Amino acid sequence: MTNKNSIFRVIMALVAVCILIPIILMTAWAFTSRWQWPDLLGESLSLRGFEEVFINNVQGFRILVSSVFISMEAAFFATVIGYMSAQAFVMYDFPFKKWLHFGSMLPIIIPSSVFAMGIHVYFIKWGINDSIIGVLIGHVLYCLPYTVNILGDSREALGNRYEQQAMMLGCDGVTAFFHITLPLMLPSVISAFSMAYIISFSQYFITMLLGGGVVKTYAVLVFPLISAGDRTIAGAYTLVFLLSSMMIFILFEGVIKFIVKKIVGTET
Amino acid sequence: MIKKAVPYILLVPFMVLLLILLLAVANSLLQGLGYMPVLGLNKISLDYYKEVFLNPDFSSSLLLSLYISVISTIFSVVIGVLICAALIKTKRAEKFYRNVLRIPILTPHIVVALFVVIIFSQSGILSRIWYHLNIINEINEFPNIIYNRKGIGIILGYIWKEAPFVAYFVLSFMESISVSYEEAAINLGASPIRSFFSVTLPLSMPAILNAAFIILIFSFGAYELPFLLGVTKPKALPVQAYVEYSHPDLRHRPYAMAENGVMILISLVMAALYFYLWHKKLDGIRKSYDK
Repeated sequence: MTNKNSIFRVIMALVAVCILIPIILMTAWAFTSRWQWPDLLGESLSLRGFEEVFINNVQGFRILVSSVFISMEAAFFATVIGYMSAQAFVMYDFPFKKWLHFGSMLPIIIPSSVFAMGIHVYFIKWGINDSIIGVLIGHVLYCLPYTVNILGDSREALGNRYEQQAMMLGCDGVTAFFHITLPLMLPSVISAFSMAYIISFSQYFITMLLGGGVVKTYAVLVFPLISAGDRTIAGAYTLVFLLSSMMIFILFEGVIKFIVKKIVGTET
Repeated sequence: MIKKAVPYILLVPFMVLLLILLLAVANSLLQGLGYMPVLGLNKISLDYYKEVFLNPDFSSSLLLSLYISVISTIFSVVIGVLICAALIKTKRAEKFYRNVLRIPILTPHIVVALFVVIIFSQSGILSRIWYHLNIINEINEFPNIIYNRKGIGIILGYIWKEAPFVAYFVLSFMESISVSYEEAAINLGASPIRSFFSVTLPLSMPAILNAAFIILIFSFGAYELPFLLGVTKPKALPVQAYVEYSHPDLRHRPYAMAENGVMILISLVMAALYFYLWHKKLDGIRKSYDK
């Protein structure tokens, strides 16, 4: 038994190494002054990369903050619309349900660049090109398959029983929703929210084309730096990028754990 | 009557967004067929599609995109399933591994591109290690792994990100099968390997196929990685389509839209293939139960 298990442990350790090494290397690049070929270690420790990100590039920090806000908004709408849609798909039977459900998976089939190029003319016609509204529409659309999926699975698992029980005891629909269904759905809601946040935060093409250079997100800012020459600066920017995407996720995980603890009374 | 309308009312915001997406698709298809009243092009014509297919640049872009997506999907699925199986059997430090596995899923593609550059470029860490191992003496003796015409750097980037995705996607499914059916097979005398390949793997196929098609379709149509890690020629199809789209002459637009149209059609074919295989698989499982 020990022999067999050690193979799997070796595999997992290898996988963990493959995943963590790029991140460690990128961090090393971000904190060095120069790292010329063929040195295996950087020349010296330096914060010049971060100086560039936070001090020299005055826009940089502002764009980071506004990107966080934009993605929060996109995640919010994607979650609310996803919840409403999941509720419809899971709890009701109606004509065209299968078609509409397939429609919710359509953004996974149609590439975001194709969508952006296709809708661009119309956004211009409607006056929402180069604006946050257009960008948000694109982001929310491409988060929807994931939020509908996550919330749908959870909604199906939860079922109607608790709501029905409450209503039999005299409570009305709205109160049942806010006091029973929503609290029980909360972990899944937060999970869908964080997934949508990450997807929106990572979006490049939609923001680039539909935002037209007027709506600047961090992803659009960092994109040209990847193939540019200075790897220290690219490293610093992407490290901040990576950390800010993950921080929100980790934050929300903590919130979920806290809520579940409060509701269920035990650690998960 | 209002009760009957409730699901539709709930779906209104979703339907609005869906309509916008369908409008984008319809517009791409129509413009690709040459219908652009703004420019006075009022006739539907297959000329642009013909021109696109006759263009050698287009066919090499199409082949490159297909090659990249198929190869990266195959490797990602095999590695992902392997990771999944190993994760289920690893009891120690399980939580740590599960969290580590989530990192690539949370990493934006743009960051993955930088990872590939840091490690595999001519000035990357692998090249430096080779220098110290005396395999190469000059920086340009290191092979062009990324920025190469087969898109190897792009494929590596996709594998890094998609294999953990497959593992995670299939995990809960495979776990439940492993705990019940695989153990039952082992109890009945099958060797662990036999029971994995004859029981767990076939039963996990729906989830595996699901993940495979998501990443296949995605890697075919995605823009970021092929742009950042690709060469000037051939460009992957999404990159090529945008180059055409940005052409200063608006009369060139239907040409770009024809390329987009091809992408839409191929993605839909991939999706249709998935649905066909999915139903075949499910029917197969159902039939074996009925026996």
